[in-house]
Amino acid sequence: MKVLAEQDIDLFYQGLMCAGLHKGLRSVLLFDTDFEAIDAIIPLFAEILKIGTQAQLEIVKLPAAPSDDDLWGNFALKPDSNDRKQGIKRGLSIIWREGLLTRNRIKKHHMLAVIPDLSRINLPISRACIMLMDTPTAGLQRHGQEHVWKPDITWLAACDRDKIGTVSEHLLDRFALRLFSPSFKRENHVSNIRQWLEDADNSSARTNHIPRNILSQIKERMEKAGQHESVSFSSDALQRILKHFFPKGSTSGVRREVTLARMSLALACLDFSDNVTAKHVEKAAEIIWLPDIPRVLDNSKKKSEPEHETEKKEKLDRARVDNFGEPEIGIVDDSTSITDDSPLHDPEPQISEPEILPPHPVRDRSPYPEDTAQVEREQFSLRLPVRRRGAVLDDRGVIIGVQPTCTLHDLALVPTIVEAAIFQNIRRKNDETLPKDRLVISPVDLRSYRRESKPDLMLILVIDYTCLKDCKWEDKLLPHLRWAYVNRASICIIQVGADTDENELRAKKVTANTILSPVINEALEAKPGKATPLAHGLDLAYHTIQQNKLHGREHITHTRLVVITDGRGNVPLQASIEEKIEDKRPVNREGIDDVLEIAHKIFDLKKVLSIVIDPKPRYYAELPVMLADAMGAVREPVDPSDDL
Amino acid sequence: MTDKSKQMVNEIPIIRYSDIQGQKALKTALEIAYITGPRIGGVLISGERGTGKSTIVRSFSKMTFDVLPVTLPINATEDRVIGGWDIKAIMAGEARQRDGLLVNANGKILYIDEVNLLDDHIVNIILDTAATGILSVQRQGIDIPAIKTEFILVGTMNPDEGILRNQLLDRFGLMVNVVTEPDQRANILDTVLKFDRKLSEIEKSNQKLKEYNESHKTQPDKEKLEWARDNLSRTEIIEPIIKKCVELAEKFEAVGHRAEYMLALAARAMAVLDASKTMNENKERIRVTKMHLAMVCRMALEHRRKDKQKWSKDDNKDVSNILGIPENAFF
Repeated sequence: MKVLAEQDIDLFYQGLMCAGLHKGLRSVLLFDTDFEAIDAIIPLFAEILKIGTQAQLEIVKLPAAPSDDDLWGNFALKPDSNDRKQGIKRGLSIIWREGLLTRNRIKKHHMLAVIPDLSRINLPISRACIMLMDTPTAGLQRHGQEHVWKPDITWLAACDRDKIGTVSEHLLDRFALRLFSPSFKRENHVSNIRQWLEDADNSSARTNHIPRNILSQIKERMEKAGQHESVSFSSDALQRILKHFFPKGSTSGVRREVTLARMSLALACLDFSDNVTAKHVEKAAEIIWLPDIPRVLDNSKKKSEPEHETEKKEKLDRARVDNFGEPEIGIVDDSTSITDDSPLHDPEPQISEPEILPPHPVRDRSPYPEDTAQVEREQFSLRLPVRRRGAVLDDRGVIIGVQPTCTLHDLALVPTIVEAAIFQNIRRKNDETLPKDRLVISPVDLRSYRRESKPDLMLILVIDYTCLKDCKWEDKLLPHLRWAYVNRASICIIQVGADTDENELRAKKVTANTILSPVINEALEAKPGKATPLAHGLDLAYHTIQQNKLHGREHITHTRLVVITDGRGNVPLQASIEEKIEDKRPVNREGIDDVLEIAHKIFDLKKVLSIVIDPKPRYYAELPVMLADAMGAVREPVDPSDDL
Repeated sequence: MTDKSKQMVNEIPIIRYSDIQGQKALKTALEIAYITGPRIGGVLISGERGTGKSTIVRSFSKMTFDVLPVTLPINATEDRVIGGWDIKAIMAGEARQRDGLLVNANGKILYIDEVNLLDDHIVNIILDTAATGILSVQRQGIDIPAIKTEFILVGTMNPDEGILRNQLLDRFGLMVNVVTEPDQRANILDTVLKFDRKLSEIEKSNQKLKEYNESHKTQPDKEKLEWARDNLSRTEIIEPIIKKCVELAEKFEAVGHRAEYMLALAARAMAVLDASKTMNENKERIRVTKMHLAMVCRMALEHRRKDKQKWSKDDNKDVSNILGIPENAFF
């Protein structure tokens, strides 16, 4: 077991406390936080929310792949034990069962919805988040139910920064508060472990993850801050938010500024200050790790604060949450406070010529990593999936809901029975010939599963980037890309000899569910590198085809393998595997021999259409022909470039 | 909607329309749709994240209709969109039907947040109904060939998640591309913070909440808009202006013929909206001018262009040349 470490976590706690105090901050995204850490954070955050919301709290940990009905509710069968003796026909009743996200609608509890890994959630939950986050009203219009309510939900999600490219930016934008999980230390007290084991069955013992003194201090401070009212912004604070952190000309929406302002406000409440000052803004920025904050101080402040910034930072680092009782940063009495009706921009700002002090130590973190992350998700990732060619006959995709059907294929039995049960009384009333002792299912009741569609065709492109310079390879490739698009095929590009972050002795594999994925475009536009690990590229292609045919629940039925190369592989397969060439010995034909050997293996694969696009190289022009023969591939010669 | 839901909806505080800063084009489009009614075919609001699209629509509905818009969630099922059997009644053995959202929205705003994420099949039903004013229900043994329902369709979308098909785009009479207005950032922030503060005050007291919700009805914009709606028939659009509508539609290669109709209708609404500043009751005709036409060009034409190009400064110049008015007079 790990527990929250007591050092360097004050900022994190204060971030959570801000979310507790301000409802506009109750969508929290934790970066690089593992499941265990989330489990440790949930009870702490729950305690904070109980104080902040003054309401009963319900914690719902959302599964990664629920269906719409799981989230929003559905009719369900309920055994009726009282009537069981009276016969089958009254043994079951139909009830409306609330969904995971609508449970608190009637109870009026506050809900803490936890998403342990945002990068793994499925389409229904992504769409539900879009519908419920950052909105004053929520609506349910499903299965005859009609409700509008105020969604009282706090969202707590975790996502690794290196996976942020897989999440929709639209969805990420809804997460107002971004925090980095504090460091954890491993529990090393035997007595604590024993205590934990003894308390294992006691759910209330979960709060033991948090040091008790910290918890009580947080509670005390939150309660006092919650009663603190009438906090107004100083013009300096607003100027700081608008001018320094989000430079003029920024095209993103105002959500980020609003978050910073709300955090500053919450921090002022935690300091029991009447004004939000520039110091609070700075602190808020520090909590969310907003990078490159220019330190702008006026002369008067410098006099009152002789302490150098770095010294202060060190002092801050030493500060612990148990110092919460005293403000950590002295709040300068700001005489430039504005009332609600004052203009935001001072005609003559109170601060004199700003002095830019050395910036923060370089931070490798940013609260908005999606701004720079490589896009790895599919295009239009929140839209309902397109129906693929074989999807109707396929019963292996992940279930995301049910739909009316007129066939018995992939029948969703329980939803069908529930649908039929709803109409039993009325049907019997209208048709007395219907049997009274059994459920009558009509064709209109039939429901089949709606599944996340999976591609059943695949295009694998092995592209040797070192041979593309002098030929019109794009023209030859286009029909294959078009085939992939029209057939909704998944795509895999194996980059051979491309200038990528991969070791130059190895090929790199890039995959996507559709050709429209931005990663495919990026892969196609890669620049040539130095070596040509063609054997490794073909080996990757061979294993990809095999894996898709033989492993797990993958169900690729046909593969089109397109290889663009001049056949001059100069890296032996073993060298690619070991990522080094032994003593820099000459490799001679070894690379080419390996290529041909793997090509023969590909020849033996079934349901693979192989094509070799031959750039017709000036030297060793026979190599692409040999490769095509070995693979049993169709050879498509490329026209030379006009530049030649 | 159940009584409980209605009560809950009334308790939800929404920022006042008049308090919202910026987004003038969006506000104008909504006002035109209110003045013309469902004939305009709806307003599509396309824009970046966090530009306040949904907030403005809710506030506008609260001001003009005193209720939140009838909202169609993206995961609504067909029975709730077009209507069907009342399931509770059916389970009790009673054959009772229940209206769907398209009928509930009659005379009000039907709002679809993230319209581009809606199932295409549902979008088709909605747009057919919006265009014809007639809903036909043929499902689960229900056979109602025609229910009259007219609503102002308002859809919002984030183009990052894909755009609508051409046929669907054309059904929206007007489209507004919402962007962040850098010069308004300070004012927007100020508005949000003030509303935050207001919320923390009014949510503590039922009386204050009630007073705040009542204040939606007394906004000055509401009086002007009602006057404009009542006086739309006073507008007069002369033949040369109508010819300009056709010329503009041709110049911008608008698909179909709806563009010129929408231009003319929106220009009339713009004229009466302009006249609502003085609310002159002298019963004289309100003339639609080239300036009014110029002001609605972008919102009526941009989404109907064959080349799908975004509106540019050159387009403003083209409008200015065709209408013979200076560019800086209307942009």
